[in-house]
Amino acid sequence: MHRLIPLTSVAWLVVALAGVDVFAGGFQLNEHGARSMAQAGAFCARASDPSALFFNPAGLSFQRGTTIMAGATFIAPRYIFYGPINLTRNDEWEMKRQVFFPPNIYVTNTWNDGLLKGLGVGIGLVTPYGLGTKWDDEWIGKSITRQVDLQTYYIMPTVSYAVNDALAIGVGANLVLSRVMLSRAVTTFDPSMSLELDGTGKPAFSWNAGILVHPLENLSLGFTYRARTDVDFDGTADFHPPASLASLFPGGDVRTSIAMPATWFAGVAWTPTENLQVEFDVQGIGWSAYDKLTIDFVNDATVNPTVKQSDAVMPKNYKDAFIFRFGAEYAIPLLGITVRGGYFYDLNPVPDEHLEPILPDANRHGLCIGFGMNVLPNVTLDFAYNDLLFQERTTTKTTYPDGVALDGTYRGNAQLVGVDITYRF
Amino acid sequence: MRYASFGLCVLLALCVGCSDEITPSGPNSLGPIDPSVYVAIGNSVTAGYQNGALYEGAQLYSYPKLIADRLGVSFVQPLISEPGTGERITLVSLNPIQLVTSEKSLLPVKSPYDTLSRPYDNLGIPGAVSLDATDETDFRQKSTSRGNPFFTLILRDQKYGKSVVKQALARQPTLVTFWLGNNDVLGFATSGGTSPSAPVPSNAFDISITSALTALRQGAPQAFILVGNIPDINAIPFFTTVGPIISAALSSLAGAPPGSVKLYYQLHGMTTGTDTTNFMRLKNVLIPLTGMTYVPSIGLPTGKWYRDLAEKLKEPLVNVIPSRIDTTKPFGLDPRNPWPDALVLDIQELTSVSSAIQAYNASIEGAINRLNNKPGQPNIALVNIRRLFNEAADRGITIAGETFTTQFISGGLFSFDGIHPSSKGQAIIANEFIRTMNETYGANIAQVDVSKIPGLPVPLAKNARRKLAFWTAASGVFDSIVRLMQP
Repeated sequence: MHRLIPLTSVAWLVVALAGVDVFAGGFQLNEHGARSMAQAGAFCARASDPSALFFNPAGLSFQRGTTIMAGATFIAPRYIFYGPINLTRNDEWEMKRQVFFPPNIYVTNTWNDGLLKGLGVGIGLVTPYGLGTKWDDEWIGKSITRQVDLQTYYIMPTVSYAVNDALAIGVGANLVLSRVMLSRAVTTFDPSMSLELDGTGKPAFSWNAGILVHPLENLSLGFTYRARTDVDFDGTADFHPPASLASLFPGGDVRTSIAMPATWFAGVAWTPTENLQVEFDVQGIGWSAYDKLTIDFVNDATVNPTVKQSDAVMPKNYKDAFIFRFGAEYAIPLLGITVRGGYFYDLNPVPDEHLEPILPDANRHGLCIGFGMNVLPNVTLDFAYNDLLFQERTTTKTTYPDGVALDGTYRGNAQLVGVDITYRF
Repeated sequence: MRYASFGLCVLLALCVGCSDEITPSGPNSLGPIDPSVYVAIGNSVTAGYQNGALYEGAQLYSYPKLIADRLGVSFVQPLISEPGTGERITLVSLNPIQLVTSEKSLLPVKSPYDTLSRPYDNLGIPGAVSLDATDETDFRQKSTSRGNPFFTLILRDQKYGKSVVKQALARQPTLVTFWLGNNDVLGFATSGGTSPSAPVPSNAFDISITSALTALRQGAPQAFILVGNIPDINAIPFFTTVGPIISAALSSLAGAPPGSVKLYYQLHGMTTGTDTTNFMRLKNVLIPLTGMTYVPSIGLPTGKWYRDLAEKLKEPLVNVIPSRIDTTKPFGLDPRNPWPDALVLDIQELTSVSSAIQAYNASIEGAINRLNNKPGQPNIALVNIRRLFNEAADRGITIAGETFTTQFISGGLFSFDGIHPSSKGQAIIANEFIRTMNETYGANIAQVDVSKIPGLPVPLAKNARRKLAFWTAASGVFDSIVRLMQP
């Protein structure tokens, strides 16, 4: 009668891509111009250079003429993991050192008289997300992550209008292009097996808008908002399986969708004397949008019972987070330079339960300095240096259900150097 | 000069200030534990038996060896050359899953066998029951009568000590792990409740365990002693794998409403009894892994089980086939050709199993409690293996991103015989012992890095097949396991 008994009930490897959280506080980048960066990113109430396209598009209308600004931020992060505590271990694992250099490019034009007076237009390219972590191939958390690499590009055509000398508004459209690569070990059988995901984000759209007000001669207020974007990633998975497992783990197409959370800046800037500007900003990031991550294999066990790769839903439960920014710049006309400094405090969105080596985030102190100078009458060079100190963070909660069970202490810091060159026509 | 020394002091102070070394789990320490002489008493799991055999490649990952490595002490095991002693089960294909047994091999212990003039530190003896801890029957005689070579291979000669416990005490141990008694119930359970026809009675178990632990305590009053308890069989894939496969097979019968097709199986001790209980309520019935061979026979007019049995027993077929069995009826689907008793644990048998395990664990705890709280002696610690296995069965154990379950093969905790832990499973058991040591004695010993322990050996590429087909287990693949468990 029924000779053959299907194997469907032998449960197989659940290939949960545990811990794939790419987009988190640590991967948000707010360094998109050396001038703002040297002032701890407290810039939305002034937005007085082309990086207004990121910080506050309304600021464009108070600028002059045609400007090109281009530069990059060199980022060298460092993390060390101590543990895992859940194995009573005190081993030290250092993340592999890498240097990233997300670029920023802006072209803007503002009409300062005539029919179009007060109108500003511009286009910019920034990388609001774009970092990576890479650990040793044989490190203790290899089943959680070996490497993550993410790049996003926001292309932002922008228009602004100054209603009068005291009020401007601006709005930008954002075309979001992204790529992601993740890899981790799969060690149940052959230790050489691993999972590598490569994905390209479908072009996504977002928008940003801002308002800039000068209620008093030496005071300005700014508010800017960038909408949440859901990026759908299409990619391929490769398990690098030994031949005997190849048909069970064919890999193939995977899909995931990730919400890039909404973010806003609110700032107040004061010009007490002609040469001094100070600003205080609050930035809010709607990380609670990042409550879970779903990885969807197109060829999974539900459509094809002969494969054993299955979809995974991982809770993340991030919390909304805030960054407090103080910055100042002081022009020294005698020397022809402007010196800058600032401090920010960045509250991380990652709950202890989901603190993972992919993004061992922590509250951070940012110490910022920099200067700008005119090297030619219409060419400005700006430099910035940030020292990011991550507060030491220990989690003992990842062994709870759904956690990756890697308790321990993370220490980190990052050195950032920003360089921009600005040419005014 | 004064300034120089002052400067040096400042420099020192600065350096001290800088060296804020992080030790998130506190500095490693043995606490009061003296690990200098560590002896392990137990059965096949303690020996490092895997995949139906005892061999060096598995012994190197026995939980006692892994513990000894963490403690940094030497630990001499009776290492057996590859492919080992037993009937080694290998996975020849994962797709479809195919398990085969190698020819029975009986290889000697490598050196040191003759040169080591003292007992081994690992006294885990595959097949040992609780009674064997203090039993002083001659080892060769015991190996012969039980058909179990390991008493001779591991205990060698009574000149090193007349029993397992005496050999352990001959080492004057400072640390002892004792995990024995699983086979007192597994012999019954793996044979489908047929051989023996009952678990070791709980009062006999109580006497064995109490006398073994008392002898250890008295013989090594200062030793730190850890005792493992007995896990439930619901957490062992040997018993939980085949039932769902049969369930799926029955529910996939053409045209039959789900749950309407029932397996007819023999009840405990009856030759022709049947039951039409909705079989797949799995808490009521467990099918041991030995049943896998006969799953493809379900619904066929076959007497394969009886033919295999006759061959195994070297008896004529008529002697093993009960008179009321009609093998022309569909196997398992007709009361006249039921699924045999030896391949099923029915509700009555499961009750005997679970009440035996409950009683054994109560005996273990009782014996520990009676021996504890004596002035000047470290307490004996209970290692709750039962809780550990149940956690693995209920929701899996995740360690650094790697999740282990009690699923057969894919769960990663058990080797291909379905009952003995894999190397990673051994590491997780070692970590439970270490955790208990840390908690009970205030030590802070680093656990084993499970990610560095090898996973289950995958078949070579040439054996891989393209098409996913069906589970196959050749006749008798798991027989050696059943035999091993029989006292």
